[in-house]
Amino acid sequence: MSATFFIAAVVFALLLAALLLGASRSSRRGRRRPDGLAVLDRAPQHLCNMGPIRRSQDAADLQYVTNRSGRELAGRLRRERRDVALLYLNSLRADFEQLLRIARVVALLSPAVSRSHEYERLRLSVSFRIRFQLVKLRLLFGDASMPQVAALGEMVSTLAIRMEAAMQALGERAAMAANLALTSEQ
Amino acid sequence: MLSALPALDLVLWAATTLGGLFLFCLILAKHLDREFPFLTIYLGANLLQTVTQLFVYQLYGFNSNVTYAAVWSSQAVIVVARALATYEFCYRVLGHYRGVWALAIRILLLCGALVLGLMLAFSRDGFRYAVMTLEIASEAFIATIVVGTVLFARHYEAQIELSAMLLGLGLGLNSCLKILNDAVLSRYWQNYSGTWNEVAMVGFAGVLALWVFAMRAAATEYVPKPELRPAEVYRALAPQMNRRLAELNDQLVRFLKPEQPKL
Repeated sequence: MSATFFIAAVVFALLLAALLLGASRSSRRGRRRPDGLAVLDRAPQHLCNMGPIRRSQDAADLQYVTNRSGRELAGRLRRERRDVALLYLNSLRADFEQLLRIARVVALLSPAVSRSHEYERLRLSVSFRIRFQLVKLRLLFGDASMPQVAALGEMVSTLAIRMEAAMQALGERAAMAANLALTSEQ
Repeated sequence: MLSALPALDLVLWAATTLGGLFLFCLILAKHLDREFPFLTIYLGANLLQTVTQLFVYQLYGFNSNVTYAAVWSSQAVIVVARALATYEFCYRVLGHYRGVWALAIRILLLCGALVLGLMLAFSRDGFRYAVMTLEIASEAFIATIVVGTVLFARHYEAQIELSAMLLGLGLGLNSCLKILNDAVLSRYWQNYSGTWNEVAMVGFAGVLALWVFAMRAAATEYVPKPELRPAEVYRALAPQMNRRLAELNDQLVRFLKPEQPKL
């Protein structure tokens, strides 16, 4: 047996064993979710707060504080605004995870799923997580300027409205489908 | 003839045989053979292999060609039986969820076949140990499918019964240990050939212990079957969910760009 194949086989076996142990531990511990479409009731909750957050990121406010109270208070305000931006990012992630969970529950309880939809969702979740970490790093190192945060706030605010409407439609559709199923059973 | 074997080997052989027999009887006594038919067949085949080996060793000795052929042929049957038990584990974990199962089994088989093919393709220079290579490849196939099933269940947050989890752990760890053991043997034949059998038997004894716990859990646990929703719900929701996820993703993409994003 060649050294390369030997190393590959050993690494492969160890990796699979580690994956198995890790995944089985987390599958048995604390990952029990309520079954059914009840999870739809807990639709994204954070995005509705985007209006106030957007206002809190206004560049004019920072300028005003700098002029009136000096650099010290302005620096403190800047830090606090960065914290708000980070919280905002986290809420964005929470909403993404929530939506992802709903989609998984729907797929899990469906008698037929589409490979392309599932693959697309996996791809989106991986790229979201990578990008989220990049954005967070930029915020932590002070690279992302406040106007950008404010612009993001505006965008997400718009998205929040659209999402809320969409979730309402989805909820109605799910309820309609459940009612149809009940009617056909009767 | 068997007295020529080291005492430790004989003790381990007796222990694993008794352990296998105990598990086989436990399954039959608790009427779990209907729930785990392939696992029962695998354990039965394993015991049968032990008896066959006993006769072959007595008749032909350890180093004859007949012994080599008989032992490794029976091992092929055992690997196939274990692959079927692996299918049983996968079905127990994901089979209730018809849609996810239909998707998962195709992907898992594809990944397993890919790993099997790669292992066989890249070990061509090890033709001297063809049987070992074949066993490593088939164990890699089984381990990939077991790990893939657990990852699928984790991704979809599907609940895994304790019995199924222990069964899967046993199958997966057994295959990983066999890959390691065979790889080390193929590479360091001179120094390791005496230890190889002992390591394999100790590993198998541990796996049997896991399966005893699995069967005890299976005899007591009640698992309600999930209630599936109409296919229309998924067809309507999945594309919309993905679109919204993509939109959330876009927010981050724009945020990364240095210029002012536009609505």
